[in-house]
Amino acid sequence: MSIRRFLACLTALLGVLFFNTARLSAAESSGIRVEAILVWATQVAKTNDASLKELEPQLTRKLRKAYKWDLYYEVRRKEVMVSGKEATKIPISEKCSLDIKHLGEERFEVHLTGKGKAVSRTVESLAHGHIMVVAGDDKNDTAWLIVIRELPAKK
Amino acid sequence: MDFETELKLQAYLDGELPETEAREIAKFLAQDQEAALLLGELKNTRQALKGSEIVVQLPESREFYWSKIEREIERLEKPQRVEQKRPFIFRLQRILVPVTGALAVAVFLGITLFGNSGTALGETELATEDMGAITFRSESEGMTTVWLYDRGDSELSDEPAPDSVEPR
Repeated sequence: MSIRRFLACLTALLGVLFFNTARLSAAESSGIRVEAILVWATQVAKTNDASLKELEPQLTRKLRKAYKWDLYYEVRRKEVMVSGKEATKIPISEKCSLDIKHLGEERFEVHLTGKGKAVSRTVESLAHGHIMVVAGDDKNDTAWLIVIRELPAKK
Repeated sequence: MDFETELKLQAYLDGELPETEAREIAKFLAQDQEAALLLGELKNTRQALKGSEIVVQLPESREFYWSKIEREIERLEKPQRVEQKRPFIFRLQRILVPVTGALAVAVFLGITLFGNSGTALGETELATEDMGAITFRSESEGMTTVWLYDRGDSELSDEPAPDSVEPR
């Protein structure tokens, strides 16, 4: 490879890098749409409780593949705009909340707080439909799950 | 006797004169006593030098020795290549190539070292020792699970426990 061609390739690569950085910075400044869904997983159908509704089929299929439970009920759903400047708080319940911060690219830092005390901190990529589930066991062989995912930007 | 005649006498002695000229010199020697004396002196001098002349032995063959000298003379006689003035872009290239390379390395290292804030994907830190976490990351399923244990749902969430959502 001649020096001229090498320089041209290198310049193009740097250009792409700078363009990408600028694009990400622009997205970061306006914020990224993130959704958190509190889900209750069980084997027993709860058809009479109005506060519970069945989780969307696509997500249910995904969860069924990963966990032992067959039924997944949506308890609460929150959508927020997350930026890299400061963490965005998402109240999941009266005692539980998430703090999400955008670290750059598709990386997010998720803090879980329970009863006012920090519980855990996780860094995860939510690129290309990748979801993150923070979960724990509940009574009578059930479980609670918080599904966190990135939503496409509004046009 | 002039200098020219002296030189001819020397040439005569060395056998370097053409035949006709040599004959003329021989006649001249027979008539001129001074010339005959000079010739005798030259003969004596040559005789004396013959015994004391240093013979130099060449380390290689005579032909090769002289061919080396010839090549050296030819080399020195060749015209020196004139340094052409190169265009500005070529001179700039000398600076640009290392600078661009260093910049590319710096960008790569910057992204690698500082781009991820020092935390690996899916890595979970717990704030309390009373809790444990199992993290499972699946690229194929597009899903990461952080399963917290040793603290029940009731401590983290006030969502309905199974008993409370039983059909009434």
